[in-house]
Amino acid sequence: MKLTTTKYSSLLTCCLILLLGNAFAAEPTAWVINANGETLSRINLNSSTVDNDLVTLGSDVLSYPNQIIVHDTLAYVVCSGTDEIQVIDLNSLTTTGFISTGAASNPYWMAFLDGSTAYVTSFVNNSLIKLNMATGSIVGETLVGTSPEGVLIRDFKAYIAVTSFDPGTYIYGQGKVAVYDTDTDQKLYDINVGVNPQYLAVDPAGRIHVVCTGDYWSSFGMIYVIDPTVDLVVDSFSIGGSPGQIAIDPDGIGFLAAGGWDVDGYVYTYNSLTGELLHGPSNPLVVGFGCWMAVPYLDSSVFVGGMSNVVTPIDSAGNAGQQFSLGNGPVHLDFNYQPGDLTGDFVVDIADLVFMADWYFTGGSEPAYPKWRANLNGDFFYDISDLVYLVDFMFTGGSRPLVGPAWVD
Amino acid sequence: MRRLFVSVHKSFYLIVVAVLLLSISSDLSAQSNIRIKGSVTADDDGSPVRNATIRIDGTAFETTTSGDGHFSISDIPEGVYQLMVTAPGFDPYPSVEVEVVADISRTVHIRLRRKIYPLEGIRIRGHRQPVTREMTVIDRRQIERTQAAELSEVLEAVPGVEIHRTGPGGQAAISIRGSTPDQVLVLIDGRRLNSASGGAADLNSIPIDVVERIELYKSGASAKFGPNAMAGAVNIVTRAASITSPRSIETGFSRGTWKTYRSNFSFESNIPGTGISHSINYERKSTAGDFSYTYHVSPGDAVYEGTRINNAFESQALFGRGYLSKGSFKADLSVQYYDAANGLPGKVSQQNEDASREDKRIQGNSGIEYRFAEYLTARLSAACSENIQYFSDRSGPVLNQYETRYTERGVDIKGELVTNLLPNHQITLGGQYQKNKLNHEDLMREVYATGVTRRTMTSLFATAQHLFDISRSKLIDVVTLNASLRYDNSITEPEKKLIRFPRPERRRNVRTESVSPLIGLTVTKGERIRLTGRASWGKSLRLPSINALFWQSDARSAGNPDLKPERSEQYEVGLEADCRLAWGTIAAGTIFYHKDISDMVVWIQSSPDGLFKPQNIGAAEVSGHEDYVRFNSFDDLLQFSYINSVTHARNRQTGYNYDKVITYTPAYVTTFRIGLNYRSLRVAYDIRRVGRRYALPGNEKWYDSYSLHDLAVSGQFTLNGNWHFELNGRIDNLTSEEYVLIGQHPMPGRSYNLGISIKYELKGNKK
Repeated sequence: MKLTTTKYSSLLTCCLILLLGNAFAAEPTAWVINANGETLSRINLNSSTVDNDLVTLGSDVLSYPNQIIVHDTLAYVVCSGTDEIQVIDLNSLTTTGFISTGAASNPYWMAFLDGSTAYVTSFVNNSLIKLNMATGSIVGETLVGTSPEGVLIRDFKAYIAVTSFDPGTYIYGQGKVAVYDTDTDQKLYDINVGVNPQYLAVDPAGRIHVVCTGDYWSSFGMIYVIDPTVDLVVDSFSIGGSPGQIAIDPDGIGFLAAGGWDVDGYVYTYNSLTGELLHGPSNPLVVGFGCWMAVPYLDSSVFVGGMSNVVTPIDSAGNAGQQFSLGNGPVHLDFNYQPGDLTGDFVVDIADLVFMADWYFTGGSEPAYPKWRANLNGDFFYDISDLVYLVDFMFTGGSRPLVGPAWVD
Repeated sequence: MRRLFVSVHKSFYLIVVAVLLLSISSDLSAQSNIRIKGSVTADDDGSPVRNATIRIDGTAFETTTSGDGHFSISDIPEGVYQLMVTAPGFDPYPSVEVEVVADISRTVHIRLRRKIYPLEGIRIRGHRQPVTREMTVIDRRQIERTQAAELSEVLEAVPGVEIHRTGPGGQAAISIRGSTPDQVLVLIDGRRLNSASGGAADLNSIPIDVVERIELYKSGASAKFGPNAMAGAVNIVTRAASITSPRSIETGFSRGTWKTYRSNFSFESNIPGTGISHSINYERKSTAGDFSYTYHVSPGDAVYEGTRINNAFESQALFGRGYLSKGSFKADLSVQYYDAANGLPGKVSQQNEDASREDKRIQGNSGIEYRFAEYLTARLSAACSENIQYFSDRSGPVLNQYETRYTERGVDIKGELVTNLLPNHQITLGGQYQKNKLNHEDLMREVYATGVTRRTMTSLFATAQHLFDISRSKLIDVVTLNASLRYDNSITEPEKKLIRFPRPERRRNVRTESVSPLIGLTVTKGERIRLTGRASWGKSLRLPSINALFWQSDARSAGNPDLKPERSEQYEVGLEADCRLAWGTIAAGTIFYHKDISDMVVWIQSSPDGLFKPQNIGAAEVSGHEDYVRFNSFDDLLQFSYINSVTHARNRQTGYNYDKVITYTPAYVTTFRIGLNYRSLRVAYDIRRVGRRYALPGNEKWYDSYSLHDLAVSGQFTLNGNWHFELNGRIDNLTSEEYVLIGQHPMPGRSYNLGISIKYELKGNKK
């Protein structure tokens, strides 16, 4: 059976190569939001050119943008100061709308369930707000714990970092990760973690790493590891300092933006699979001062940056790539990953079809990070329908591949 | 709201018509038995002289001029009389002969020469104070000309001055040449008004009717007033009843858009023969304040509109002042009480209908002055005050809630000696002792209260001025050199609480010593056409706020007791020309200034803990020029002024938005004003053009330039010589221009205000 399939796929591949169907290409781009300048910047990763001040962020001044998520030609920016999600058309570089999260809600972080549903944490309202991104409306809100910040969706569950920062006393209580069922839109339970959990990321083993920043005084950086199959803490280890954003590269190296507010900025790294601290407070990777951003790019590097207005890609060995001068206070970025681009060259063409066929039928390697690019039809599964979708796009004039759930892997 | 608008709109025009008719016909109200009437005006600019005394020599007939400079004396028997005219601030007028004939009223127009106050033995040529000098004086006459309803509106017309407001009824704070409001020291009768919490002073807490004059220092004035006058100072001198003024009662009422009401009452009197005069003024203001707005932020096309809520404001102020002048001795005693409550609407994106603020101020001032000899005068003054500020919002999410109170009590004692021992020379030596106790209570999160902090300041100061009359040189008439030096020693003692961040330690006292110099040079030439050149240099400073030093540390922020004072060094050069013509005066001038500010306190995250803490890392460079042209006809019929101020305020903090324009500092402000005085009718039309204001430190967002048109009309008339009426109306922002002064705090569009004032002089004529 396997032999038959292999022959079939090889024959099909040869035929498709000969036919050379429809293709789509995009410049690999990093879209960066600048917290202080409240603007959008663009890094062309092919030409290494930077364009700043492309779009004004927020409907007014003091918008405090926190996070950007790029879906094909649209970008969604969480503006915590103006209580809204800004939707930007990246082709025309215009704002197509603002989705309100409610007055004084202070939205902090956002995660998409699928192409049209997103969840955003409300730091002030202690809640998780469910948004219909197609209609631009709030469709639900659930209390999840005191002062929630980061949120991550995996296997139809949302994991919310609940800092337990008591605004009445300014003291941090028991840090928790609230687990939320996206099917029933109900909070399931809390998982206790360290002090002041802020951000979450998934390691190559599928485990969730929770960055517990500490209270900046008596307790310091810790990583708690949760196994989402049983929703239990399975590991924890000390990092030190007061780390914030986290990125885990496909090799399992965790990068932590660790501030550094006077002269230099710092990045800590650790092995997410073993818990080994590679670069901690005593031997940090030194970058521009005020480092508060860490975002992984493909399988090659992590982009870090902050108050120094510089974004730097660094690899797992700590080697820095070319620096990019950004706008005022880059705080977060996202890449224009192309659904259907399995090879990671930002082109959707016959090579991706070959890659997919090889992966499905001949046991070839999986797509590199982020894997969701292979989920072409936007549903929650990788299956033959994705291959059909790609064939339809390339040879019969079908529509472009869709952005599916980023958490599917 | 619409209905109110129409109603007020109609009423305004009715009032305007009434004012016109009454003003033009006011002369008709003159009584048939009046024998002598006329006016008293200033010789230099033709402005009316208020409170001038007209006495008929050898008789008991005496009266004083009203606010418009007019007077009348009735029931005088036929005969030939000598009229004697005197007025404060003017040379006595040589007697004028008037013959009174049966049934014929005589009209006399008298021009008084403004009194010059030379230094000992020196005659100062010229007649006007150059505006390019370090202090700008706005006297009562100029204040009345503006027809302003609030003190802040008067100051707004001064080049280089910006007023920061958050709505129609709220606070008004002053910014000078790109400064923040807390860098400007505001004094009332020489006593600090700046709030203990934010450091800014609310100008609207002082009723405009009690202001006699405003002394404005637009450069650093620490050499004059000590720390906290880093960007300048405003000294508001309240009115004291003149010992020559008639006893009078005045009351007024006005109503405006947004249900704005203002009522006031004042009483002035004196005790003849004792040298004692006193006055009381009470004012009450309130507004509903809510208004619709529309504005947009650039770059971008989106227009934001809605209704501002929670702008309600209510205040009352009571000012009393007594004055004694007996030979070489003068004494002064004043008491001020002010309380206000207002809503805090919040940003437009997070409007808040529950946040509120309350202010209460009680202040007592006393001072004595004794002139020992022609060459030696001593002054001693003392004041005590209590300021309470309360902020509250206990609704909504807990993170947004707060309830806090600042209570500040202070004592201020100042003594000085003024000597003219040497010809052409004046020296002032003095000392000042100030002690303040600030109690910060966090009523919601008690553990984060700063507690009681005491700040004691001891100061010594000296000022020297020398005049050189070198008119024989034919190149320059007078050169004036002045120098000021002030030494301040302060100690700030916090409550000895434990600081948790960044490491556990007890709070400690903070001592600061500073020396502030100021040197100035003024050169004048000519009399009919006079040129004045001026240059000055000085250094100023501002002590760190108590919040910055001792902010009770929490999870994200902490105070920093190692802070140094903010410092500035400034110089300015100016040239002014004024010319007296047969039909009026024309004056024009320009002044260039430059200041470097260092060690500015900036709250930033800092290593190793990442807490937000204040640091002395900020720096700024501010330069610019202020230009003006003014014309005033001698009969005061027509006034015209053009004022333009250009400001380049740049950030010089290394590594952080270097060279960017400082937020909310407009590139230029141009004001054009026309005033018309016809008989008792007064019309003023102002156009104010304000340049772009950047809203973010990196200059990525800004509010566009805007123009405001304001119209004010008033008319006065007198009945029976004792009753004085004034009707006034204003339309502010005539074109309903959209504009924003502070981020997310849009200002209202067109607004109206109508008012009436009635004054009764209990003793119009003395027989």
